[in-house]
Amino acid sequence: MLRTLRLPLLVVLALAIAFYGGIASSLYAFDHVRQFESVTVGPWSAWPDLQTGRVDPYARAYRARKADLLLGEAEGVVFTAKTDDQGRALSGTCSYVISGTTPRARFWTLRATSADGAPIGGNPALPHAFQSQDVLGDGHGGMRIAAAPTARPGNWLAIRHAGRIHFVLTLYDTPAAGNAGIIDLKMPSIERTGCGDA
Amino acid sequence: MRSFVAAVLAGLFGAALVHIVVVLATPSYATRDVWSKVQRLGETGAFHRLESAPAVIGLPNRDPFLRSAVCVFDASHGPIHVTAGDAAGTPSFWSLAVFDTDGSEVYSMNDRSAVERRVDVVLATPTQMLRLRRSRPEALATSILVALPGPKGYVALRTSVDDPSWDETAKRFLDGAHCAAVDAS
Repeated sequence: MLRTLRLPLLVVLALAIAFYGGIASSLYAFDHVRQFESVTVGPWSAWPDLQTGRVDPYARAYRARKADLLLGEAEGVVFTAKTDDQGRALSGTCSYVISGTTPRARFWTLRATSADGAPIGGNPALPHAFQSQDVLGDGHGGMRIAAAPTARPGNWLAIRHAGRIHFVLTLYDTPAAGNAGIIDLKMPSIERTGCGDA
Repeated sequence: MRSFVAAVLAGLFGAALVHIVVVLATPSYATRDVWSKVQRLGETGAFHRLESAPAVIGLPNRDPFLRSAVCVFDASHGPIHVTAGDAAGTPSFWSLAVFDTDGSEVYSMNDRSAVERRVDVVLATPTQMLRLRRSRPEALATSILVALPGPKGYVALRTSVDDPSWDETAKRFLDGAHCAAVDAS
């Protein structure tokens, strides 16, 4: 009895491994291809050539699943930060200081989003986004933005949100878009200054 | 035991094949990719403004300091002439990107590289391009010529809004944008 069933069982085993292994490894690749192929500067990551025809099949599959309108090379490049400088996940209940300089660009915008990329904050009177012209400089050619759930002096980015958040810094009309892998990029640091009511 | 190992090895080999097929097939089988989304925005050959609120189509205008519009084109009946902006109301920044049906960038530019900061681009297939070069229509004399890999694709046009007072300018700019086929024979 067992001898006659042996061959079919082995075939089923092989097929199961092929099917589940193939699907699971593909899904894993789709979820992790970004961290292998994107350009990272500190906590910031960007994928400046994702929209080009030069990318590999993994990036193509990622792009098709992501289904977003991407910026062309002459338009700009989007940097996203999911953690602070220490690698701790960004939270809408903590306070951060984003300071330093950005790569050269005509202008940039900074906004906070929820973990799925949707804008946060329902109160349109609060500053949920900044653009470079509106930011008070730090006097040394850089910027200093306080991102916190409660009001701060200077440049305040309102991030009150229950759960994880991302910072999205978009550079428009920048040489960094075409050469992000080649030229040395300087991105602002993200320093956590406190959590909870602090 | 030997046949068990052989079955596992065969399974792993099969898994590698399945993996390759899934990765390569995903872009062509993804039914919710950008190409299918932009087609749902409205008719072909016209710009449609994207809403800032999360839209049903799932293609929101993400940056609050920018406004965008998308036009799906089909150049099989003649080259596409993309125009926007005039002497009166051209915003301080605009950028344009042309994509093919795969979502790969064909061409992109911004206002700094445009003649008189106006959007004036002609998208043509290689054969139309040859004809255009030969006939050189007067209306397209200063246009930027872009060669398309295929007749279909989409154009994204973006413009900056420094604060709400620029909304009207941005809206006029995007609503005044055209991307219709021209008769260039």
